[in-house]
Amino acid sequence: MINKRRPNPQDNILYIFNTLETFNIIGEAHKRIEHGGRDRTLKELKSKYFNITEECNERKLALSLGNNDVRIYQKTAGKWNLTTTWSDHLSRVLAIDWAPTTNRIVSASADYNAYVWTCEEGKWKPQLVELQRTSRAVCCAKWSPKENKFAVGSSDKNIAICYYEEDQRFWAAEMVKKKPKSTVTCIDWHPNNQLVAVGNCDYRCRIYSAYIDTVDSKLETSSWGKISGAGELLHEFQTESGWIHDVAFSPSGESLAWVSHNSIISVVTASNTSRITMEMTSYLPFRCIIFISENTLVTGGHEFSPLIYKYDEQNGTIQYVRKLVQEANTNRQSVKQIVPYETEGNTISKISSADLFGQIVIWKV
Amino acid sequence: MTPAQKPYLDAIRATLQAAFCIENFESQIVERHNKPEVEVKSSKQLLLNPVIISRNDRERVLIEGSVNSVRLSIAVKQSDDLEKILCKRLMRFMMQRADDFHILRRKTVPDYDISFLITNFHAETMYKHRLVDFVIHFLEEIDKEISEMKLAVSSRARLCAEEFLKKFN
Repeated sequence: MINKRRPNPQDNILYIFNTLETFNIIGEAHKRIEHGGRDRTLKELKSKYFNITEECNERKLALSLGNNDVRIYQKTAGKWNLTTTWSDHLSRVLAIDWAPTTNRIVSASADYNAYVWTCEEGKWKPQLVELQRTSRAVCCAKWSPKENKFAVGSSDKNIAICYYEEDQRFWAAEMVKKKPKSTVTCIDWHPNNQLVAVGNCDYRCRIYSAYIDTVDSKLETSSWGKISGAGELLHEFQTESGWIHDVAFSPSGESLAWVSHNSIISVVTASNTSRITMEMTSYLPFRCIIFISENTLVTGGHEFSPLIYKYDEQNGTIQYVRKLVQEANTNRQSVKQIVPYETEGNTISKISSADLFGQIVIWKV
Repeated sequence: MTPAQKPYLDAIRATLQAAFCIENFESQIVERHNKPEVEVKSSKQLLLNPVIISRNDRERVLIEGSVNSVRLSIAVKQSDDLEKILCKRLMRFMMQRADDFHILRRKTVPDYDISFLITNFHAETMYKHRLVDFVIHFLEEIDKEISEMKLAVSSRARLCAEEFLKKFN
């Protein structure tokens, strides 16, 4: 619930919006700043409204502990409390992604189903995604930046772009045309909402067009090539060997980075797609990578502590900057996922990492 | 650990640390299955090159890696028939109880005396460095164990022979 900012804190509450209005307000604010992302939206909101719930504040956490449950935690008074548990999945939950502005969660599981959870008056309601041709585990899921679509990748070497079919009221899926040759391990969206990068176990990283005519009004231009129909393959990058563990677009979408099992970090820029910058590290393989600014990368993996790298486009180098210091009781197992936690301006100031023993650590970078 | 053994064990340790970088991987062939790829060998792309680390022709370790599992097979030094029998008995004893050992494989890989299978589910519940330490400790101890058993067998044989020959005094 959002209350209108009161001119004077002692005054009575002016107006309480209901859920639908709340979303409209957030949506408007989001549009005003030209889809500038969650944190800028929040800033915009805070300047106008007061008493934003934790929900909007992103102080909630959805996770799965390697079993069939999805759990939602909420931070109240400095403590994380378990608020909801869903047990609709029949197998291990493999991926969860939360769309902060539309407040929807997509969860994907090894029972080859994906659910979209929508919050209606404080209650979460699941809706099954129609993944007709997927009969293997769904390995990864990610919301697009505008949160009107999401992409899922599965073990049967398929990638689907899912969107909400307004007429028939269900989540439909559009499969990509040229399928990869192995399990899809990771997905990332280009900020223009119409390109996805996927990493696979066949040592390749691909960029697909994710344009859906019913959802996207017009074709965006991109520096990665002309976006045409849904699911067209635009680029294919190959590293020497090693399964791709994670891909990430830079905030502007001009660079694409990925990490593979041979401990190599690779970055490619849209202006010169034939040149792949590689950094061979002496560490154990990385499992996740994110951009915290246009040329700063954070990687994490079997090395326990996240590492920071700097990408220099002109010289074509990736340089090691530093390791985030490990204190007692932080990650003792390999890091599985790194997500941004807080931003300051355009750069990410805090990240959180989740490890295989179910520990989540928040790091200042 | 004897100084002669150190480079051998160090090489195994380094290889294991790299091989234990495994993660959850659902089957591409059968729905809702999650099987160790090193066993099912469903795709060549999901396997790593097997590594054999050997000290001499009798003592060697085979490490086969894959995306979600590692198979580790050990050939123990056996210099004579008695050591062969002892090793076979000891390994049989352990493999019959493989369920209690979690990572022990019920059958060995051909030409090896004992095999371990470590999957991502083990990696999620156990410390990786402890698993490596366990394997190294096992390698250190197994030779000692067998030579001790050999000594025990021969001293007992000597005792038996003595008692037996007393009758003819």
